Amino acid sequence: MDEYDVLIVGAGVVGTAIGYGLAKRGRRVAMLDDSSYPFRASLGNQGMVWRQPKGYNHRPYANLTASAVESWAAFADELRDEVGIDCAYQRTGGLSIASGPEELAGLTRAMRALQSHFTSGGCEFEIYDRSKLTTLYPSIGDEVPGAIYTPYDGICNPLALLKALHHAFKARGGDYVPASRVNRIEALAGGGFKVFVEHGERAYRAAKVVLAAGLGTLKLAQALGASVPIKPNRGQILVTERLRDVNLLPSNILRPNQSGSLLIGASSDDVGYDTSLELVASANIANRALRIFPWLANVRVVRMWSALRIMTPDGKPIYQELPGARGVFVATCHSGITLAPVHAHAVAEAIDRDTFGGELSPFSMERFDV
Amino acid sequence: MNELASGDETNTDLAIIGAGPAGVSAARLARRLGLQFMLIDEQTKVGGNVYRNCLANLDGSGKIAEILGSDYRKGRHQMAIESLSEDNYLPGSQIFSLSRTGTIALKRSGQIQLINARKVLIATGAVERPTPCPGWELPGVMSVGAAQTLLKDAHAIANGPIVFAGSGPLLFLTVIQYLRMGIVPAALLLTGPYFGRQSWLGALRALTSHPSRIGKGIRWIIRTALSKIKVYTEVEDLRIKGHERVGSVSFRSRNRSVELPAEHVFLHEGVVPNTALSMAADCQHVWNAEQVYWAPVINDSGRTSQLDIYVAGDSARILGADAAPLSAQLAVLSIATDLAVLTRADMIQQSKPLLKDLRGEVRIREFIDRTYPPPVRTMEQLPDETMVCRCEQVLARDIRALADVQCTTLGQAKAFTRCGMGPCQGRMCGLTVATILAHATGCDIESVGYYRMRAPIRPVSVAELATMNSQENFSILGLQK
Amino acid sequence: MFSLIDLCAANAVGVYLDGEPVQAPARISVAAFLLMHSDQPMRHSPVNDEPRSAFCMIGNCYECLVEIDGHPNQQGCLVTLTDQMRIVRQLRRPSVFSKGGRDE
Repeated sequence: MDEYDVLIVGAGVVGTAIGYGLAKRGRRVAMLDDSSYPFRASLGNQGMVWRQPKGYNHRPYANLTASAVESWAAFADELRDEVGIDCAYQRTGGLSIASGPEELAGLTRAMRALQSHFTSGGCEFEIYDRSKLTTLYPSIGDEVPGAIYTPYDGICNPLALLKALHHAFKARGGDYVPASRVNRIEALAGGGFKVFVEHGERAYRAAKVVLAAGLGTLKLAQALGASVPIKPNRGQILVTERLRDVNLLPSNILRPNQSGSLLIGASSDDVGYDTSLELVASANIANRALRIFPWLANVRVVRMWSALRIMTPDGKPIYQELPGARGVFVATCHSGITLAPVHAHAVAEAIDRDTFGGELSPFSMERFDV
Repeated sequence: MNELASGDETNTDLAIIGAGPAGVSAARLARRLGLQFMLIDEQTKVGGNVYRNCLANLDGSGKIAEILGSDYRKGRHQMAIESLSEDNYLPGSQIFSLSRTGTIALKRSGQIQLINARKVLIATGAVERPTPCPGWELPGVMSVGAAQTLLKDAHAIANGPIVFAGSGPLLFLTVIQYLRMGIVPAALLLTGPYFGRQSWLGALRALTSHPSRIGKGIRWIIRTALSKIKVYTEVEDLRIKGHERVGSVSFRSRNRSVELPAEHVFLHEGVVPNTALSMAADCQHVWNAEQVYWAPVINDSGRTSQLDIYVAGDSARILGADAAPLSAQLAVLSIATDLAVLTRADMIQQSKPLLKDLRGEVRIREFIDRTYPPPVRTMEQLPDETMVCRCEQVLARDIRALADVQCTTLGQAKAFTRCGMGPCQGRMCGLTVATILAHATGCDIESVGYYRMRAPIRPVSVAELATMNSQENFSILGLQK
Repeated sequence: MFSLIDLCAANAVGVYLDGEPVQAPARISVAAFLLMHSDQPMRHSPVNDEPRSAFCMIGNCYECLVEIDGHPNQQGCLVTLTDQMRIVRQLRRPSVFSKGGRDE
């Protein structure tokens, strides 16, 4: 039976980033990936590397996000040096475009609150009023009062990121084991764990286990006596045909991708584990986008995705050792793209050293016990 | 807004998607049983692919009827259907969404329409198996089905040296049709295995149940042999060459290298079920390992894992045009029973002769399948530079490289290479990529899985999508109460 | 190129191809018309500009994408010619501002 220092359950962007970080630190790491394709959030997102306005009501999260975004360029370089894959990170600047005056007021309030967390600067933003916005986008919708512009926000290719992390994990000696859904984790008398995989009765031994299985983490943690409060939230994205003359900043409405398509999103529906596409949600996304950018009328949608975000009660990540299951760690969030550098460095280090201090300490589940 | 705009019109019992032999047969029976139905089709005339444009082509004394052949002429009877009207027939409609509960969204003459059907029968027929080889993306290379479509719809034929390549009855049929017009293609390249003993035994067996059809096959072979067409057998390593357009083909035949000039190349390696709609509606699919295709899981009546969705004809399983009306009628009988228009006893009784005839069709099909096995080895051995995904220009070597990161599912391959992300949503590459990936990683093709086909099944504009939120801009037919 | 074996379509229609007026048989698809009109490709691939033309003619391959009456990326094999139809071969990706939108 295979024996590892760390066994990671889940090979999406969170799991692979942590796995890569641990392998880089010299640990023997195995990463188990189940074969359940539909719930794969890593493949169903827009690839935003984004700050605004995350953490406006939660200083530690604001700081964590800022530190992730500031180190993203270096992280992309690191991956390119490791495995020659370009994550196409671009610090383009970002917009949150308001559909109406109330929304603009709300966005402004949030950004002011966010800015208050950064007393020594580094959280600039500009309020574009309608006249400024129309110099940027002359044919913007009539009802749009303005937008918030942030210079540090940007985009990457999330599929390239996942691919790069997989390659980097392997290059550093990690063992990737696909088609392996974990169905039981057993604590061993002398320390460490035995992890069982269904349909094949394979098992692996590891000193530590990391649960980074997105929504799959729920059941696994429960079996270990811990309750991790995560819920699915469905988001749909519309993907257009490839276009030219696309000079658009990524925004809350859409982002252009590397191929010249526009990713238009995103909805937010509580429908349990249902990833079937709903026309209602698609129609709503199309409607909102059309009111902001009327010229989208004659642009064709060629694909749609639906993916499940992993939502904690406050929307902020959970990073900690499971209470009552020492040696088992949980890492879950809904911003796995933005936070990738943090996962590869700080979170990997925390797991390695069994201690979640500094910027990670506020992200334990204890904050939910009021 | 949390709801699509709605009205309070009457129900439609049954939406039949596709107006080929299965769909039209289903509509006839539905009418006889008194079921309210809506026959929805992408084309502007009934016929599907096999009987494309048959009502016009068989009307009068045009030569086209002779050229197309006796099977095609069956269309006059098969496609006859009375009193189709705006109330029950929607030609020229592109369906872009089908939900598991029977809600259909379609585009027709620039308008979006929503249909809520209590039951849906998918009868969209077959599509050709993708036939990749180096250079297949050059203009001038088409499928044999394209040659058929051009002949039936536009009465158009290819000019210049024409090369036919591949395997399967449709390949022979098209060659025969060209010969009937006095056009001798430059060459017929047969990629299938030489006719072995197993095929002849199967032929004998099928001959006893359907002598006329095997006789026809034998007549085709003789006609081809007697014409001046050059026939090459055991063709391997087919490559299509040209600058901006087809110029020539090269291949090996029985270990001899050959190069021939060509202005058009028609390829064919059999047909597979069109599963776009059944997959989009989240029906379960099963891998047919002998025939190397995914097909919807169905019971004897064609009901899928989604209780309100049925599949009939070649969209369920490749059995051909004569079997299509049989499976379509079985489905309608079951649907009528679901809707309490028919008793279970009557359904069972009326199904019996249909099931018997269907079994005969299955035997014929087994013979054809054995004679023309799917080209798995060819796909596994495609040269590295073959463009397996035409839309995103992904090469065979890019798929093989995925073995380095133990990428073992088609979904992951799609994420890492973009194969399957283009406009065709994997229709032209799925089976090829799955075969190559399975071969490169040592997995079986079934576990590699398939692309998650989903809406929009046909592209739809942002404005068209947005209109589904607005009351005035579309009409609903048959809203479920 | 393809040629007609008979005049199945009695009435010719007048259409515009890349801006030029052309007579065409009625009741055939846009893709069929293009195949009979010339050997020029129907479009260039938006990925790397390679020439492409119809492959399957039944709406499965999405190679016959042309602009019809101002709407880009239409499958020519699924659209029947009508009088005065404006067909433009897609040698570049459609502009995000197609159909007369103002350039930004």
